[in-house]
Amino acid sequence: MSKYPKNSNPFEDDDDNYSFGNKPSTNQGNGFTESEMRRQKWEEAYASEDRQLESTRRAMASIYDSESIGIAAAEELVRQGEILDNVETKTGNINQNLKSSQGHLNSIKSVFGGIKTWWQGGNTTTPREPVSSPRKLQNTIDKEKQAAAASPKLKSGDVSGFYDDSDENLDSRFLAGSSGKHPGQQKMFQPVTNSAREKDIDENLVLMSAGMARLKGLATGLGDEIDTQNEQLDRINRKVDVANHRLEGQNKQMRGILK
Amino acid sequence: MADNEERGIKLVQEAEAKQKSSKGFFSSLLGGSSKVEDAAELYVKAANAFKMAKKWAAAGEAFMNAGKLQLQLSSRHEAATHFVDAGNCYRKGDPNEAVNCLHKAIEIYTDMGRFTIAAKHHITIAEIYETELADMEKAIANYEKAGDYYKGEESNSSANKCLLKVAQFSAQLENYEKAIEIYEQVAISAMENSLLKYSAKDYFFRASVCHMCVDLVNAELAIPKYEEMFPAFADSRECKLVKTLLAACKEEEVDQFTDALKDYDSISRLDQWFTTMLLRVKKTLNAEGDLC
Repeated sequence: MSKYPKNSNPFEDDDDNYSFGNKPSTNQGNGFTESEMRRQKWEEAYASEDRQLESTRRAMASIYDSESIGIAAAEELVRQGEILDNVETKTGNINQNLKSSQGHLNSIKSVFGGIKTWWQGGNTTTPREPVSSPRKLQNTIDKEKQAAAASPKLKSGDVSGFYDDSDENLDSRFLAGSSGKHPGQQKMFQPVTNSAREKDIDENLVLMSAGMARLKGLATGLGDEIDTQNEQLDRINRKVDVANHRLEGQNKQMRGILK
Repeated sequence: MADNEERGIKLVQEAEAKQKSSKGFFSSLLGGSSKVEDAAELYVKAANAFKMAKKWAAAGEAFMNAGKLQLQLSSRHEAATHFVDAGNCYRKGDPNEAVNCLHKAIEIYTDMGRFTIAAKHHITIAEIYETELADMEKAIANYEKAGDYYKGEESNSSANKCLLKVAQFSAQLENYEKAIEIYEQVAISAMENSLLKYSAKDYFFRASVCHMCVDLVNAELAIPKYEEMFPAFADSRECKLVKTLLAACKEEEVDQFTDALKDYDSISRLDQWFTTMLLRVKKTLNAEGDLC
């Protein structure tokens, strides 16, 4: 009897279920003909479709919002990453300079110290360490591209695959499904009312899944970048500590010399 | 607050006195430079007191004097920092003076070869022109200089940030060619980076809108080119919107145009820049309609 689609859509309002199943039986009975009741049910179905369409639109709006926020965050992060690279190089320079100034201080303090430094040789020529640590992001993206190319199989309507823990298959299904390369296998949901609105809803769902795949990619990328930057910050912290220590020591020595 | 102001005025007088005394023959022999240092320090203290009293002009002037004294002492770093502080104080009262101070600071930094920090101050100046003085051309010039300095220091994403502002304002001033060039360039470089490629489609969208403002034929040629360069752009809603708008323009259907825009706007807002540009395109539409 119920021809309307099963609502597994979490954005759907809850009161729909009430009106369908538990309608009070005052309308049934002698007053209404079958066609009237059917018409009522159809109207309810249409109303529900409208609500579904609206909620898919709202969902798309929030997905696009999150995407633009994620994009802005990604740009900021990349900019910060560059600045951190800069900081690391310059801190390295500072340490080098401090080493050479320590050498000068030694030579000032005593003739002996000067000879010792000269003997140790010019240690200012150590090469600058290469700062660009390999960003894991490129690897993640390449891996995903390969997976998408290698597994175009898409089981129609097989929802159990969603709970797989192999990330690559999930991504490839999303990507393959959203790009419409396999039209026959694409419909995860069986068409019910075949109305134009339902087509809209299906299209929106496809767009939503594409959007969520992009969001996932963005989020992974952001996470990787943040991890790399965290490691970088730790390294910078250590270097700056060393520089600080040396600087304090040299300040003390200079104060002693100037007295 | 008046208390701080009085303190500030007193300190300024002390500093001036010190400065004058240091110019005397005798003291310049003995310890002239330390007197000048003291004077500079006193000016800084005075400026801070004025800041607490919210007398921005006086604070700015005090910082400027301190900076000039530091230049005499050849400590350029200190001088530049004082000029920047002066700029910040003047910003609240007299934007033109602020720009002057910041320019002085930038001169010192570029002389020393510190281009990154000079670029940062160019951005500050550009922001002052953008918000307080509303002089778009000077803002564009400063953003451009900042972008060039950043490019020179290999900070590409900071450079791109400045270039995007240049493009935004150029398009607003109807310098579409420049805007299109910048957007295309930034979009292409964004495509390479795995994190930034999500924003590439936005840049292509903006470039397409600029094309539409210039000439519809241009836009029609450009969009397939962008799709080819960047397939993800082809799938995006932005590309669909541009195509709908182009079709509406060709048939001169103002209603179709507005409907497509409303549709897109209901899902993701179009910001002010887009609204301005698209209104211009719509105006050309209406004009063509009238001529027929």
